[in-house]
Amino acid sequence: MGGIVDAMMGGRGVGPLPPDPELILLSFLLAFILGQMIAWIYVYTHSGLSYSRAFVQSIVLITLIVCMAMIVIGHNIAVAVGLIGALAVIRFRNILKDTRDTSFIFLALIMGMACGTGNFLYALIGTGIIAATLVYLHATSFGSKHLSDGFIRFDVTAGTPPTLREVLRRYCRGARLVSQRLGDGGQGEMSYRLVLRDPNRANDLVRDIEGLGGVANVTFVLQEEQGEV
Amino acid sequence: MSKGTSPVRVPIPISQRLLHWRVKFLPIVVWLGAIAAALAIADRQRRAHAPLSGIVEIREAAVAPHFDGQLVSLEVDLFDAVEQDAVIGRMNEDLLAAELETARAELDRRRAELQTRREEIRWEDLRRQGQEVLELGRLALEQEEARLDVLDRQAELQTARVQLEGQTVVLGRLTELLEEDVIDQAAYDEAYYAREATEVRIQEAEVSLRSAREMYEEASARRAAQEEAAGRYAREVMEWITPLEQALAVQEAFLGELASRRELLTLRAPISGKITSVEVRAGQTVMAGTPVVSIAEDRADRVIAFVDESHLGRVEAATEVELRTRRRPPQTHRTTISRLGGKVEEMPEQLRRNPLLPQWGFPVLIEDIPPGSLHPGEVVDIRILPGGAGS
Repeated sequence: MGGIVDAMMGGRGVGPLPPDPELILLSFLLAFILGQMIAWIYVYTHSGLSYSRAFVQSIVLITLIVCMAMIVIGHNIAVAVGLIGALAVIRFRNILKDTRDTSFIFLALIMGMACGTGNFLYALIGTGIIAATLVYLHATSFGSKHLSDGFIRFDVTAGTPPTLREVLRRYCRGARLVSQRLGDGGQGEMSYRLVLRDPNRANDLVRDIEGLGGVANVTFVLQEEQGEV
Repeated sequence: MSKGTSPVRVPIPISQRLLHWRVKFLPIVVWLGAIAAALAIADRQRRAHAPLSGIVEIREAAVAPHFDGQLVSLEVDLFDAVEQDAVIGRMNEDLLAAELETARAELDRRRAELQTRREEIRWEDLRRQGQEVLELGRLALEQEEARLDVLDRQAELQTARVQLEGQTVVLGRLTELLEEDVIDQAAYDEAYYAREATEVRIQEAEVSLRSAREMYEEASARRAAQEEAAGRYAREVMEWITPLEQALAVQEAFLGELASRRELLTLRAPISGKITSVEVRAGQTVMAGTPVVSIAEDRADRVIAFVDESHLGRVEAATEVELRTRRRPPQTHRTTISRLGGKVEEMPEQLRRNPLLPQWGFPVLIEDIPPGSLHPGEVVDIRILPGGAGS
């Protein structure tokens, strides 16, 4: 076991100075810190309809992956050119629709290069850190602008029920009117995106809204991971 | 179903609270945690970072032949330990022997040439000496004859002058007697004309004396010229011989040099140490000055370190430092900086952050290292200890 660790720490024997694990860790940490900051700025400043949570997560991933790539390449021009070639081949042979997919492809490429060039320690540390980051991004739904548990839609006959807000406040942590269609006489349709205080009490919410005057055809759609893709 | 809403809000289950915290706050906590970890590592790196790195000095000497030739034998091999003056190898003597024979033959030839020339000169000299003796004798004789002639003329002149004085006295007396009518005119005239004749004779003698003196001077000049010519010939003879003698001396010196070369055909180690490279094998021809083997001293007691320019103010002579090897496990040694270099220089490749890119640093010398603790050429990291200059 010690020999395996020595081999990984020392690269391929006599050669360049063995990599410093602390420095590698510091590089990845800085990449993560700055990548996440850039992602937050993107989320905060984004406007328009093309928002994508996968893209936001890709921002964080790509900073880590490129950090790994530069560590592996170092000052070796041959390795850099090989990376460009491999990326070009993959890109031309595969249509990558999603930015996150591209990140994973890039990550696989870099890991392969790290192992192929004998940078075992870089490969292990990088894989560990990036894997942990992926789990972290997934667990925190990082990049989600509007988290919600579902949609509720109902018809109204006399405009917005006056006690609707109290009902929503009772059951929801947050409720956002996403669409409203009202005609003459107050008839119409309303839709809310909801963040429930207790998703298990969704039926109670539906019942209470149905109990409001002037409300009919209440429909609640409970969806996980609702919102952006 | 009640138409009103309960005033009490639905309690949030723990799982939802955790989910909310996970989504809302965990990214911030993780981000801040990453910042804290990065700062801690950076600070640790800064403390551990060695502003100096150095190489253990390698004292190496190359053993090379003084002359072109073939290496006949090599007594050592790679990584052999050798003592100072130990035999490393031997060069082929055949060429030297041939050169010696050629030089000896040339020397003999020049000696024979010189001897022949000397004989020629001696015979020539004898011949010329004979002629010169005769000629000199003749000219000396001429000179003597001229001198005698001068003396004769002088004597004759003196005689005539004495005679004239006597005749003048007699004539004076006869004049008195004539006036006293003691003698007749004829006697007086005889004396008078005799005196006149003597005056004429004196004049002729003076002319003759001048002529004799001129002839004497000419004869002397001829003799001096002859002697001068004889001396010039002697000098010319020396000039004929001197180049031959000089060439002979050069050849003798060359022969001596060839003889001393024999000592240099045996290659010896200038220092004690280990053979680090073998450039030429037995049987190969090698040019003069081409290294045959390289020897590195086992001694590793000095480190030449380079200070990054940003840390220049932190080092000075007697600054305490800690040396740390890059082996596993690493070894540390405490010592001081002995001397500072004179200028910022380009660092060796092993000490650069990137071997492909040039890097400059200020060199310092570190001594007082325990013998046997380091290897020549080994790279060490150096940390300035607290309490050192500018630390």
